[in-house]
Amino acid sequence: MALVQCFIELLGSLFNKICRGDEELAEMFGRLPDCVVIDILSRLPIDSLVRFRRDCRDLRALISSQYFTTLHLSRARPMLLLHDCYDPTKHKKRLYVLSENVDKKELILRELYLQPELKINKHLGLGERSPSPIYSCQGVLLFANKYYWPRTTYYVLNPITQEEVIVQHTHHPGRLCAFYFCRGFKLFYAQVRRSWCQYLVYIFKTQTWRKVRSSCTFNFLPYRGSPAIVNGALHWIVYTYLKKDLPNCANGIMVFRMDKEELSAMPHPGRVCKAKQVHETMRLLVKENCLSFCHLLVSELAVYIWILEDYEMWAWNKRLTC
Amino acid sequence: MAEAASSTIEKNNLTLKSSYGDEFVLEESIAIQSVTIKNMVEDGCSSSVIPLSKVDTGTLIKVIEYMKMHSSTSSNEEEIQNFDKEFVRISIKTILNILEAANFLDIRSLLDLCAEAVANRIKNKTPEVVRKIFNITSDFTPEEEAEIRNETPWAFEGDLDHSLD
Repeated sequence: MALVQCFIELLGSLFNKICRGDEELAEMFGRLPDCVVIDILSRLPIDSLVRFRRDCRDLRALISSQYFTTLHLSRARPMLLLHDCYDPTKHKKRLYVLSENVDKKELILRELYLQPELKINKHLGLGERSPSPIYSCQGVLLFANKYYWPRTTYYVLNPITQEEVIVQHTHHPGRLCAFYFCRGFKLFYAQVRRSWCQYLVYIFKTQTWRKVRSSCTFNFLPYRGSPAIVNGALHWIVYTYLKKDLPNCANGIMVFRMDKEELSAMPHPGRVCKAKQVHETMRLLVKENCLSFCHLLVSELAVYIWILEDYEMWAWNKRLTC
Repeated sequence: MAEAASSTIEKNNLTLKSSYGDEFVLEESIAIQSVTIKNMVEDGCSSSVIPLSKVDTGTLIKVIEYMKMHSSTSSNEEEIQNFDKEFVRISIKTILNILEAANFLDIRSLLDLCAEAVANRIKNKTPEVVRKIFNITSDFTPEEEAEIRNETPWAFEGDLDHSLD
């Protein structure tokens, strides 16, 4: 509440500027309550905001504030980022943003600007060792060296403010499993030891790695790709079971509670799989705020979609077969 | 004839009065889309005329037109969508007046529609034009401005709209 009050005061000074002069239109804008003006601004696309940021200090302070960015994010539409990495004629790998022009009903491909000083920019043209976008969280992008093992450097980039954070570590071999937000940005990493797994969380705020407590029998490695985030937890399909070659369907879904940092494993819906490769054809998504399980059965030319209707009871309902 | 008249009375009409003194009779079921009016009805202070001293006649006509369309049971979703699209095809000044009225009357859907329309109108404008619309004076020195401009060149690329409308 104090925060909101602070911005209302801030806007008050903005309106002193707006109301100056006698233009009818400006006067009308000035008459609008502050909450309505914030409402209008929060509906603007990011590139317009970046443009208007240079209008005046107050506007700049408002747009950069956490209150405003949270409001803006709640209204923002998803943005598609394209990574051009297979054209050998180009020396530099390029990133494009696909955006929609509603008025002209057309799609525009705009190159994502990266400041020359950014380290990510320098490393993007390094061929096989070049970092690729792996995860995104709240408009922030995470890059890692996809084809270079061990993966020791992550580039975390905010394309709006052109700020970059570099995370380096020596916990290899292992796999970065998630980039998420829970009281600040965090990473979830699974370090593979000889016959067991050590799970680690990286906290950007304190720039430290922290071990996650797990029992010695809990040795699951999540499948590559983004986890499904719902109900305050991250969910992955378990891909490799370290000890045995048999599929472990009773522990087919790995769950990580973000606030308590607790790990657990739950069964996936459907029948028990005959081979562990079957788990490669499974995906977890979030649909209608529920965890959703998609299974592609190549032999049957079918896709099964299940919805987790009761999270507490872990009750799945088969919705679609096609 | 007599039946029709009595049913109109049963419908509980309200009288809204604009800032110019013009009075409009509206069914209560339509008018209570405005949370402000709904609260007045519930508190029992709507027996006589409801004065809307902040809303002029032209704006009130538009707001009533909107409320009538959105409470009509005969129109389908597509008709309402088309109506909304046409509704905001008006001058930015008129939209701002409606925004002010929608905020005062507390009609969330109308507020959303108009705020979205204003955002769409100004999103492709250059900062110079937005400054003129909002009547803002830049408080950055030319050096600072060049610095900020340098920070985000991608934001200044592409076709921008230099018109004031």
